[in-house]
Formats: sequence, C-alpha cells, structure tokens
Amino acid sequence: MWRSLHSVLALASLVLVLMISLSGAFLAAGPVVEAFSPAVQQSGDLSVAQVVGVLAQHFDAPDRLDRLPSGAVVLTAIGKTGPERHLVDIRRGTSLGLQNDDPVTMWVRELHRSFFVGMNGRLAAGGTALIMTLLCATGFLLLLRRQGGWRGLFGAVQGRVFERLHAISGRLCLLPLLFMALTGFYLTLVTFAVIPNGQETPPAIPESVAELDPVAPGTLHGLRDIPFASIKSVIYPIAGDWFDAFSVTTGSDHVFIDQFTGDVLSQQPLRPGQIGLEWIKALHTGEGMAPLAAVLGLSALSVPVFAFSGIAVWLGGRRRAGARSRGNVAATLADIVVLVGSENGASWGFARHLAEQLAALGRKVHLDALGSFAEYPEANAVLVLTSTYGDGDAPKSAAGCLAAVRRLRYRPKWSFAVLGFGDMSFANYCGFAGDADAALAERAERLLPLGRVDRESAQSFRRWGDELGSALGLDLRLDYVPPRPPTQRAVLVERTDYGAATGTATAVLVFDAGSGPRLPRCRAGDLVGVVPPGSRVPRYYSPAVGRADGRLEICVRLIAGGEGSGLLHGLAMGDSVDLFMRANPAFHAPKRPLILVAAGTGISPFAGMIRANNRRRDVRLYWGGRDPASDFLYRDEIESWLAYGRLASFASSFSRVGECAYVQDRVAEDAAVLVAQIQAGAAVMVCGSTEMAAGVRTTFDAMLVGHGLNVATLKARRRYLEEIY
Amino acid sequence: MKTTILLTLALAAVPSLALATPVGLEVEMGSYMGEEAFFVVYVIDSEGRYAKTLWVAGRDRAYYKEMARWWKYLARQPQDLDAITGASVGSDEGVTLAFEIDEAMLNAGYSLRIESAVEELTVFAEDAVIPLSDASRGQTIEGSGYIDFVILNY
Repeated sequence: MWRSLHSVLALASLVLVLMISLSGAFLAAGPVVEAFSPAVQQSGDLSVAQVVGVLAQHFDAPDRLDRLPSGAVVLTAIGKTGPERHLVDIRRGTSLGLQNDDPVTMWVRELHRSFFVGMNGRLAAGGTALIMTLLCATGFLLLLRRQGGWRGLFGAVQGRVFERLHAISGRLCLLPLLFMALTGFYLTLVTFAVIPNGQETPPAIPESVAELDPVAPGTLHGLRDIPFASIKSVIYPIAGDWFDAFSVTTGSDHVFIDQFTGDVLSQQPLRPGQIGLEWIKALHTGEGMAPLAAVLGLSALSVPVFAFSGIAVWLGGRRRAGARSRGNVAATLADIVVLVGSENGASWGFARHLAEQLAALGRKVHLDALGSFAEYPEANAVLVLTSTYGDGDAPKSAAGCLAAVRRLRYRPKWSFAVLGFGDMSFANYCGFAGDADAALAERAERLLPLGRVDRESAQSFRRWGDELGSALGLDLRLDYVPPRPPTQRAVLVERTDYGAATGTATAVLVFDAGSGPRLPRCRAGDLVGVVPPGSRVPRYYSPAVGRADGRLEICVRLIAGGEGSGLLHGLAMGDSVDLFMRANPAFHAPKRPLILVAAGTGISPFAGMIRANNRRRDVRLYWGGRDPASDFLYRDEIESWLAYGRLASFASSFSRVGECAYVQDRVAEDAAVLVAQIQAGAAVMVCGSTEMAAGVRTTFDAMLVGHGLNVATLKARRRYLEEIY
Repeated sequence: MKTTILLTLALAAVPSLALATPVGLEVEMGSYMGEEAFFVVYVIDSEGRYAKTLWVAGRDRAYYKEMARWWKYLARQPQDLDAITGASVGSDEGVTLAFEIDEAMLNAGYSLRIESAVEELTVFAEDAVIPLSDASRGQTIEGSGYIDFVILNY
C-alpha cells in the first residue's frame, strides 16, 4: 500500500521533482559563493547613525538601506535613470559596485518557483513540494519496514544493488529533503495568502512633528541608539515629504524616528506572520547560512540518484512480478495467497507451479515474496513456501516478515500452511520455516502442520500438495520437477589426494574446459554447482579461484554416501563432469583487514581470496585439520603466501595429534590481537561445517564480551560472514 | 462588520452633498521583462500631500507594501480598498480605469500620482504624475517606469 503510493507519486511527479531539485541545488550555490564575497562585512559595534552618516557623504538621494542575511549591505538610491542598488562599504560609505541579479540565477530561480508559467506554475511548485513531503514520509515508512524497525534503521542494508543505493541515499538525505519540501510548501501557502505574511496592512506610521531646518541624519540620537548589527532595513524619509519619518526595521520591531529631532516617534512589534516568513525563507534558501545551503544543495543533488535507482527498483519489481505468474490477483482481492521466502530463487519455481495449479482450479491467487507480507482481507488461505538462510535465518526475499506477522492487528479469517525447503544434512533443517510457522500460529488458524521438502524433492512436494488439496477441498495435483540449471562440461586435469590415513579422504581437483568453451569466471566466495548424472539437484562447492591459468580448483572431502563427493572422488584424469557457477555475494571478501577461519576443505574459498590479495591487506588465516602428515591442504602454497606478504599470519591446529586442538582454540589463544583488529575494523570470515562454525561463533562471542561487540552485531554490519556446509 | 456598513453608507451619502465628476484614465504599460505590474493611483494636493487613493491594480495585498511611498500614506490614513481594487496589468497591456472625482479637486492644484512595482524589480514611486486640470485632458503623459503613457479623460 505505502509502496504503491510511493511509486505512483514518484513516477507522476518525476519531471517536476527533478526540475525543482536540480534548480534548487544550483540556487543553493548562491549563499555559499556569497559567503566569500568582499561585500560581506561584520557590523561590529557600529550604530545605524554612523553608517547612515558615512553613506550621506557619497550618496545624494538614498531611498532605503538593507542589511542582507549574508552580511552584505545594499543601499538603494535614486539615480538619474531610476533607483540603483549599490553594495556599500559600511565603514567608508563607498559603493562596492551595483548589485544586479545575475540573469542565469534569475532564470533558474524562476524555473524553481514557477516553471516559467506564473501563478499556475507556483501552484505546481507547491504541489511538487507537497508530493516531495509525501515521498519522504512514505519512503521513511518503507525504510523502517525494510530494516525491521527503528533498531535496524542504521544497520546494514541488504538487497539488490539499486535497492541498497535507494535505501542508503534515503537514510542520508531524507531529513534535508523533507526539510526543504516542508519549508517550500510553507512559502507556497504564503504566496497564495493561506498563511499571512504579516504585511497585508501597514504598520501605523507616524509623521515627523514639525518642519524644521534639514538635519544630517548621522546626528540623529534615535539612530545612534540602534546597533547596526540588529537591523534588517532602514527606510529613509521620502525626499519631498517633510512630514515623513525614518523607519528602521529590526529583527523584532518597527522603530519610527523624527527626521528633524531624532526622537523615537513610536515602536511597534513585527507581526508573527512576518517573523515566521523570514525564518522559513532563510531556512529554505540557506541565505546567510552557507553551511546549511551547502548541505541542502548537496542533498538536492541526491534526487536524480533517487529517481534513477527508484525506477530501476520499480522496473525490476515489475519484471519479477510478471515472472511470478500470469494473472496474479491483487493482494487485497485474492482468496489464496502464496508467499515465497527464497535466497537464490529455487523455491519460486515450486511456488509458481502451486499458484498456477490453484488458479487453474478457479481460485483467485496472489503470489508474492514473503517479505511483502500484509493483511490479505479477502483471503481464506495463506501458504508460505520458504527456504532457510545459513543457520536458521530468514532468506533474502523474506526479510522482515516475522515482525510483520507479529504486527497483525486482527485475528485474520484465513488459515495458514508453511512448507519449508532445505537440506536434511544441515543441523537446523528448515529452521526458518519452523520460526515462520510458530509466528503465524500465534496469530492465525493452522491449516496444515509444518511440511518439509528435502533437497527439492518432487515426491515430498507432491505429498504436501495432496494434503493441501484435501484440506482445501480441491482436486490439487502438484507435479513439479525443478529445471536443471544450464551446465558446462569440465575435464579433470590434475588431482592431489590427502587424508587417506586419517579417514578424511580429501581431493584437490583441477578442471579445465577441455575442448569446450572457456570456464566461466567467478570471484572467491562464489559457488560452483555440480550436477551428478541422473540427478536434477546440484551439489554446491566453494572453489578456490585465482589460479593464474584460469583453471577451476575444487577441494572436496569424501562423505560416506554423498552423491556429489562420491562422483568427484571417483573421477580419473581426463574424466569430465557437468557444472555451473552461482554468484554468492554474501561471502565475497569485504575490503577490510580479514580474519579467516576454516576447517578442512573450508580453506578453499580463502585460498582464492589470499591469492587475490595483491595489495597486501592484513589477512590472517586460522585453519584446522586432523594430522599434518595426512591432510595439510595447501601446505606449500601457504608458505609462499606468507613469504610474499599476501598472508600476514597463519596458525594451524590438528585434532588427532599433539595437544589435539580445534581451530577455535588457536583463535582463542590470539584473542587480544584479534579483538584489537576487530575494533580497528577487521572482518571475520568463517568457512566450515555447522558444528565448527558454531564453535567459532561461541569463541568470538566469548572474546568480545566486555568490548561492546558480539557476533550478532558484527553480522548485521556484514563484518562476520559465514559459509556453512 | 458594523463599521464597514456604516462606512459604506457614509460613502454612499457623499455624492449627494459634493458634486462628483466621472473621470476616465487610460493606462498603457510599456515593455518589460517580469511578472504583471501592481500600481496604485492616488490624489495629491497642491503641496504634494496625499489626499486619497482612487485605484489599486493588483489583488494580492501581501505585495502592497512594495509600493512603499503610498503604503506609508495609507498607513497614516486608512481607507477601504475593496471597491477600488482590480487586476494587475502585464507588460504591453493596457487598461482603462473609471472613477469619480470631487469637482472641487479639478483645476485646483490637485494631481494624480501613480506608483508602480513589479515583483523582484525596481519600484517607481512616481511613475507618472497627471495634473487634474483641463490642460491635461486628452493629453498623452509619459510614464517614467513600467508605464508607457497615460491619458486623462473627463
């Protein structure tokens, strides 16, 4: 709801908002440049009489004197061809040149205020300011929702690149933009007389008491008593009107002074509307406040960034929505809602099939990401299909959904069913699906008990579909086989075996493309999927990249009964295998000093990162194996990394020899150094089994106690990354 | 409210006592770059003292203060402007104004003075001065500011 309002408003006002903000950014440069103008002067303890007196020596027919917010002073005098505006030196009384508005500035100001179409344009500019206010407000609500509330507001921003750009610039520029929109809207209301400017009727201007001989204004005691620094303007008596008086406007009052006797005739406070208008105007333009003008101008420049990234996000959303399902029914009208939590898109295929089958049975189905969870007033059933990220966390497309479920205001009339996708070999199998199921059970009726699909099994999905069909009273048949990812043939060209003695048969396998096309490039941390023949489900490995010869290196341990590792270990030189690459930005090395912790084959993504460390960043490696004589992977290469400074330090532990230590024991020994490194900005990356990762996490938490840090906060800042298998 | 009604009654009663002459004033604006001009037409006596306002061109009162000289006179001698306010006039446009002037003011040293202003631009406190005398009837009198010329008819 807020999202659609935000996009509709933004798209509808795109051109006007861009014109207003770019012209605004240009105008903001004015006060910044002016601050360095020689006409800007400190008033010190000069009185109005001193300034008026010294000006009288150089100007015959002064009309009015204005002290601008910047500190420059303008004297308007009647010259031969009409009034002339001189910038003046208030101590010498001389002209510093005429103050003429630069035509470019005037042109841009007119564009900014009225798009060159007079009062209608001003109305449009005011409307644009109002729309910008609404965009800021809805944008803030969306940002809150996306970050999971106030606490997450300044946490790490997840998502696609344009979403991140949009959210990060929002966090940075939202307040100044809101400030400008609100002040701009106020100015429009004053222009259209909705808010008074306090000058609709004149103040009661008295007359000088009697016509006497002319007096030099510099000698008038009334003017001597007013400090020049306190005034905004002095209006001289009109030359032909002996009865006229000096009118001095300060920040708070009008003061009227007899032009012959110098007596104060009367003093009247400014009206609230006038004081308000002057403040708002100063805040909107930044006149006389160069730092404010600079901040406002730079923030205005962020608007094209918002427009560009916002359109990219919107188009991306439309493209994905189009890909979701043909004939997707709106959330508020659907009677069955299918929600998807997915990290890499695999669960979407299942969900789309489910939605299509339900739609074919005549139901009104809405398919969406789990992160968009809303109230669904017309729904009878809400079906959640979700994977789990890492150790029981929400996958990417489900961010914030648990909080949204807990915010449900009424007990909904729909009932729910959750189906988890995962891999039974993980410790926390379908952990997030369980959390979602529990959260929903607190608010709504359960339709089916929590279902689980192990490794994209078509059979379990069909069984769950049968149960769902009978619960909904539908003849539902789910026959979905996940599409096999496009793969490429790779040929084994090198093989080194380790660990035979310790029962941890591990092989480092090097592949090249053979006669086929070149193997795809990937970054350290990305994954390579290997598809065993006859299977549709890929097994993922973290390859060691960065070999000078462009070959692909996979380090794999033989697991009893493991289809993938069995296949790879069974390969002889010259045999080939089908594989594909999958980007895994969640485990790309941050550009910081790194503390790398791995056990066994977990070293392989780190090998790629260390090989790529040409800048000799501070990288420390902790690695655990079983027996140095048997499974010391990369032993020789580690020595050359240390020698060339790609690796700052290396510590190993072996669980079957000597003191029988695990890798977290080595980490704990260096606690003092590592804590100091983390405090100085280092990031921790962990790659290994579920148990090993849990042990390392506990060790770091224990080390960080008393330093105001823990693994959870580091994770939120993307400074503690895990790749678990 | 009551004051307004009393004032209106009083004004309505005046013509029966003093003889009023209908007067026409053609005002032609010159060419300038800017928004529509505001201007005010008022009567001054032989000593240059303000007597009364006859016409205000421009409806937005927030801008009246820009015509600073007249604004001062109005401050000292408040007047109900509702019935004598019309639209502002743009560059190269013309307008014909009609008002009634007390016969005693004709050929007695009184003049009409016009003060004009355009937003963000110079204010002309004495854009044009037209003596209220038979000598200036039908004459083209040039303005010194936004006004190109004026012609007085009665």
